[in-house]
Amino acid sequence: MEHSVHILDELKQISPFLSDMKKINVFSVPQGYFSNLDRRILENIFNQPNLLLTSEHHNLGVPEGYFENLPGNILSKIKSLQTEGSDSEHFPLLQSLKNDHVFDVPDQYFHQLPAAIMARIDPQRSRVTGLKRKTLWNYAVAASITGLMAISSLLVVDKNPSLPGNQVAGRSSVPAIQASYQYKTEEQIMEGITTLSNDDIIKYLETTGSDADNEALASGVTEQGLPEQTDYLQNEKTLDAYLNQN
Amino acid sequence: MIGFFIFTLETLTMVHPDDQELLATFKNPATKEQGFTSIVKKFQEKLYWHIRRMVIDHEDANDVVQNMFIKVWNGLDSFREASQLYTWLYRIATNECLTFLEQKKRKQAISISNHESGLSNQLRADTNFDAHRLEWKLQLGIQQLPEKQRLVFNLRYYDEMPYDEMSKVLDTSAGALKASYHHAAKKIEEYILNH
Repeated sequence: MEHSVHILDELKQISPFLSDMKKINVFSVPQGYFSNLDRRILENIFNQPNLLLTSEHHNLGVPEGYFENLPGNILSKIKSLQTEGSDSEHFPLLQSLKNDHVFDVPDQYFHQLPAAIMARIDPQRSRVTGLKRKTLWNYAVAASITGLMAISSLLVVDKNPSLPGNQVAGRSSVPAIQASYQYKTEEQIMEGITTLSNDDIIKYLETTGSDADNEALASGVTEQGLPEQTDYLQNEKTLDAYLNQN
Repeated sequence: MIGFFIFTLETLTMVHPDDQELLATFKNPATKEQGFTSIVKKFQEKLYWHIRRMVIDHEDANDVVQNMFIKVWNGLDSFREASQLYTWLYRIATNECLTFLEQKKRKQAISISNHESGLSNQLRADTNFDAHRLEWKLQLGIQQLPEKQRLVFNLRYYDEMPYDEMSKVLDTSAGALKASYHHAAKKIEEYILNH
């Protein structure tokens, strides 16, 4: 300890006023407080078994059952950390092992895979299947409606040329056929097709169309009638982007 | 309150074993309690008053002093004898004080400045308080200081602790502590002269 005179001199230089003051303790304590403080503290320590355990086993041992419970405790801790944060944050070792593969593949497998797949795909078939389904659908719908309306109109015109439209309509319950009665010439049929809405076309195909018919119709479409390759490639990219997002 | 008295001379007249002897007694399992009791008896008053000047209320000081000695019981096995025992004990006591004051602030949900005036109010509530007496004005002046300056002033003025030891207790350079003590003394002087 520094001598109190030295400390008093220091205070004199800072504040002569304070250094001249007598040090009086203004606080009081209950009588006998210090005489039994040590006993009260020991009572507190011995009334808390955990404190004794912590102290007595501080250097030389571990709490009872510590090693028996250790694996379970570690696993619980790992599980809680997994729910709290990312692997890279809490398990750097696991994160570093993430890209280590334990399974082998033949040499050059991934290099040759695209060519192997393409070799198994028929070039013409691959071109058709490469179309966007919606584009093919539109062609198929238009072709089937055209065919159906043309056939229906011709039948009506050929077999019942003298009957009024309302009477003829009464002989058929199919709405499309009823509608086709109003078309007498090829020009009228083509005009009628252009007035059809997409909903009408889709509704018709849902009730009468099939995948087999669509494929048969699609196979008859020439290459000149198809969209440019870039159109559906662009759509393929859009589809990929969508799939990646979902 | 019956049974209160200003100060005890009991520990001043007692002769305590030196720290090495106390630590050896504590580290021997057969004499652990005896060693601990001796350590408490040797340092209890100095530490109590250090704590009391910070928390003001006796019951609060009693809680803090008991908690700190329980921590001493748990941590003394790992105490590095390279440092002085009393420095280590002051450090624990100071940390316990600051923790207690922080908890009290949170409980009361008041600002730091209000907290300091809260401590002044506790002083005024003391049965022996006399606003005209210089020693009480000094205490009110001390309570106006920020917490760290209050610690520095108390450790230097009352405990007469050297700056290098205080530096270990408060984790602050001796130069900064000198400056802090200087500012504290000036502020207290100003407070007393103006009130």
